Amino acid sequence: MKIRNGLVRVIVATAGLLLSATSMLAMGGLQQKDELFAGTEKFAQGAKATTEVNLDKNMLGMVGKFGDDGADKSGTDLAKKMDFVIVHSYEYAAPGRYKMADVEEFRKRLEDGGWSHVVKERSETESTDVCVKVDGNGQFSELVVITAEPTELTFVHLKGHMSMDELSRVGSHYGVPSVDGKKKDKDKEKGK
Amino acid sequence: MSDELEQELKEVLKRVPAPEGFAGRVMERVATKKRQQVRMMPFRVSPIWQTAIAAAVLIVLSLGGVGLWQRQQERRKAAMVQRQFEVAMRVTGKTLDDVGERVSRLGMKGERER
Repeated sequence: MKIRNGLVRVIVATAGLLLSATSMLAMGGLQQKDELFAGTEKFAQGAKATTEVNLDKNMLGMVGKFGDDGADKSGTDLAKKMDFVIVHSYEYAAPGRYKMADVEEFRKRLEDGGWSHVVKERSETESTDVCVKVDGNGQFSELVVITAEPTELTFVHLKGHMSMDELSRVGSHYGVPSVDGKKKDKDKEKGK
Repeated sequence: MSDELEQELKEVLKRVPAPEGFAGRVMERVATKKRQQVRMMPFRVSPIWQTAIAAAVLIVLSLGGVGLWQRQQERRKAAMVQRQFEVAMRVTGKTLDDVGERVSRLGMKGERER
């Protein structure tokens, strides 16, 4: 009888262990809080395509962990330098699907908090804002980009220690031609 | 002829008493064989140890299973994060590229106006 009780106890303890391990895994899905772009979800209404990415430091640590990044490790290296990556991008089928006044609300948030405005461009239908916070080494520690076009609206918020060159290199690694590459192409076309 | 055969058969098939103690020896051997069949383990293990070994095997198997499952989950999550990171970098790269182009376009326009 005693032996049977002992075995039951062991089974219960093992089940408890398994349950706690499962619940610990389930808890691993927390996202980075972003007060700067809190509320941008409203732009998803009426959007043809929506891209929303929110990766915190823990999740960024998983980039390239199982060798999914190929031979070029620039993406993995950059991910390790970052604290978080937040991207909200909305594409609309036609112009006028969102109000520019609503975007203004998010631009105003950049006026406080020690942001340096690198690019601020306004036209009737488009607007661009690029703001950075720079650290002592001349690298930026935080980058915010807000671009509003008639059919496209993008919010990017990156935190980490990286250079513009690194970002550009990683962009080209994942399918976006680098600015230099484009210049070279254009120069070639001019040469013809 | 047939009487002769009958006599011979009677002689051969006549009842012979078993030697003394034969039945006892047979029963003893049967009992020993039964005992050998019942014993599963080559050496005697106390019930407490049997429980402990069973529990240890159960724990090792469970932990191994959880570990395997955990690794699979982690791999799946890492693949998802990798995809999201790629998308984020693509959007960021494209947006910065567009900004660069727009700024250079404005710069060229300003130069021309001068």
